[in-house]
Amino acid sequence: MTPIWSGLSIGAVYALIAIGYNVVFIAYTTFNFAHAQLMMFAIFVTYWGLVVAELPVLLIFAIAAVGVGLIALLEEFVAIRPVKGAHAHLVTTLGMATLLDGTTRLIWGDQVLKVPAVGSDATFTLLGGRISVPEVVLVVSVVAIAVAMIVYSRRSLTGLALLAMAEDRDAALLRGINVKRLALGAFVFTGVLAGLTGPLVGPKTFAVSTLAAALALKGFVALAIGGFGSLPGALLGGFLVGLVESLTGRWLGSQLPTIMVFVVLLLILMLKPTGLFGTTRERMV
Amino acid sequence: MSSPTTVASPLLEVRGLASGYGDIRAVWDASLQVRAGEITVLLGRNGAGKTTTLRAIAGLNRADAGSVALRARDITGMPPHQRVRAGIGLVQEGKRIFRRRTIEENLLLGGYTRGLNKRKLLVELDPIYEMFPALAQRRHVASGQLSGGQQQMLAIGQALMAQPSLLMLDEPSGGLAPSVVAEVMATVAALKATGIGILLVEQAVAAALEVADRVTVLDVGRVILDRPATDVAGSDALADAYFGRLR
Repeated sequence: MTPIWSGLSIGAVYALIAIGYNVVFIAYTTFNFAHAQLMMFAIFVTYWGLVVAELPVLLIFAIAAVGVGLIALLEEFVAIRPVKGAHAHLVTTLGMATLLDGTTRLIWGDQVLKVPAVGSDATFTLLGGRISVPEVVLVVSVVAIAVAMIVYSRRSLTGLALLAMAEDRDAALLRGINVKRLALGAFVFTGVLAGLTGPLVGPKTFAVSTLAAALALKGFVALAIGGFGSLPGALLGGFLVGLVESLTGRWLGSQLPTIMVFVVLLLILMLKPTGLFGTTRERMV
Repeated sequence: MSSPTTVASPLLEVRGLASGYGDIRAVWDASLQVRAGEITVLLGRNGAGKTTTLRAIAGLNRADAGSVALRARDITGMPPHQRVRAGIGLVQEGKRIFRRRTIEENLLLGGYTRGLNKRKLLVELDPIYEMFPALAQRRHVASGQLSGGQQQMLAIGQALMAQPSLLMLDEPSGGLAPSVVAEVMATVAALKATGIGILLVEQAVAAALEVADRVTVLDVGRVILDRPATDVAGSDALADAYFGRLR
């Protein structure tokens, strides 16, 4: 059972990244390739807060949420707003990612830094497998966040407006929805979410300047498996990638996990090109 | 600019409007007006610039020249979502509802600008359901599954949820069976009776003229006829405009 718990907890991290991609995709029909960097930044802020500055935990959450939220705000203005289209945003957000990678290295260097848990870091046996308290907190939080977001998007007027905007931007404007402001809000939200979850992710991934590149790749695979634009898909896709990676590493050897992740991705896309929960875009004329 | 002191100043006054898509101009010189409680029918051949005119009035397309005024207030530079709050509703061609959302969700989105919470807004759906009983029975059905006529009713109901003072309808009878077209026109006539001003673009010319108070004809982006409907009915003016003898 240990590889399953381990797979689920790293899968929760991939799911978080995929959810971040997804919210931006819903709001802009484009990808923010710097999202994993936002998460990485939050993890380094957590390290700094706990180990270097020794701040109270709540303050660390607040600093990470506000700080990364502000970085996201800045990114929207410099990398998203000035250009149009997913291709242009590929270039600008990758540029932002490179900038954040470099900044992280400048501030914190290249070493792997151990991030302490914000609460208990005890390990215990669950259904025959070893799992730690931070891992349980991480998995439960990510599921709770995803469920809350799914319910919010279907039940609240703002969530509905966001889905409407994703479906037909002109029609949303004609209902009086300020699509620019709503999209900006969604973008900043992904930064705040990365900030708030960074302290939960850190103990699992450690803080290292190459972390974002690894998370970005797996997060994107999770997104493709689940289907672009689907929050339940991102959640399940993340867990699936984590489990495949962990179980392959346990049973087939340590060289194979990444290859197996892509084998699973290809198999799913061959059987269902839109991903598990994706829908094709349609428009009646 | 029409004077705000004039009692009979029109609800919507468009003057010398030019608009298009990027560098491609579709409307060169469109002037028209709609009065409260009246229907102006905008006619013209395919490509005459009717849809572009409506989109420019709604703010989706930029006005390159000319002006748009609602109740004598210039709104030419106003962004589209603010025009909805100002009272302009557009029902786009092709039943552009949110097809993945349910009827109820579509109507709630229609009332987005009302500033009500969801619970209060749900109560406000009742008059729409009374007007279109077929929608009430299927309120939790994804709207993409509705018949064409029901989708058109939903599109109109959605626009009405914002309580517009001007309702623009772009070919509401397009692709609908004749019996449904009659139903749509009856709805339009009923809406007029509530005091809303209506700007109607329609290919079904005869049906549109029956409800029209004023007729404006566009050709290649320019207005070539603009008269009260009573002057047009029974005369050759419309045929002349369509076949180009007026110019």
